[in-house]
Amino acid sequence: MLEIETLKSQLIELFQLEGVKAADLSDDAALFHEGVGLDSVDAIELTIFLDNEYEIVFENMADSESAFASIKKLSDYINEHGVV
Amino acid sequence: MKMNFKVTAVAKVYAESKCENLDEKRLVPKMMLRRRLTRSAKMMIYLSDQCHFSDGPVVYGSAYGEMQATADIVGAIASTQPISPTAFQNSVYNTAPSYFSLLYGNKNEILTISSGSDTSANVLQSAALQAVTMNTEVLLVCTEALNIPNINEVNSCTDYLEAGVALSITPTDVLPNITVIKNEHKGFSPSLWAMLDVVNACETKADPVIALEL
Repeated sequence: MLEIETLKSQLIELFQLEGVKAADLSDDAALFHEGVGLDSVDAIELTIFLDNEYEIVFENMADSESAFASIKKLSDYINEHGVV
Repeated sequence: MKMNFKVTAVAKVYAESKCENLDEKRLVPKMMLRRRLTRSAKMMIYLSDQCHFSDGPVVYGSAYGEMQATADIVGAIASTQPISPTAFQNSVYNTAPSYFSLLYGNKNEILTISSGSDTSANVLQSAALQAVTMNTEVLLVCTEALNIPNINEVNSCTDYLEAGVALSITPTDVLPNITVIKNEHKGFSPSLWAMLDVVNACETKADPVIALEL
């Protein structure tokens, strides 16, 4: 099972969130816009990361929108659909 | 035909491996922008700050372009991995001046030149033409960021793997008070030599004026 703190650390490394620690990120923080602040380029980067790391390929937009809603939802999605 | 230009500022930065203290946290306070900057972009932003220039036309040059992003893409292709959109975005030659413009909201024209060893000579000529045409101050920047993994397997003549040079010029009727002499700048990429000639000649002179070929 993927721990949410592990996922936070992976996101910090992936997106080079300099000066941000896992503890700084709320579980319910939105990944995009006002939350973590990721953008559309990051969305593609995250999609590639999920495929490489957890063999997750989204079959439709609704799934990705739901999974990307917050760090907690992404963690849940990985644990449900990914190879952890 | 030659015209005269006042050199309003000069700056250079170089290191054998990595230029430290580019002051990026102060110059780019927004972490979400800073995290994407390439080495060349960081050098360019530092050099433009040293020249006190944030708004106006820019002529940028690099012979090798964004080596790290390009290597990342080639590496991904070689290992049949998906290409990172960030690497793709950062791989173009005008990455550095584009981040500069994003940072300062600079909506003026940017010209990017890559022409091997003649790069900075052509930057000087193009910037001179632009400064005269628009009758304005122009920022000239050339950078090379060659410090990628295994670069020493193919490099034997460039000691300073990160180097950048910048100056700002404005047209003037004042006669030149400096004669720029062509030199070999051992250890630097030849793409930077012509601008290094100018910067080295001007950095110790008060109110330098040079003549540039249009």
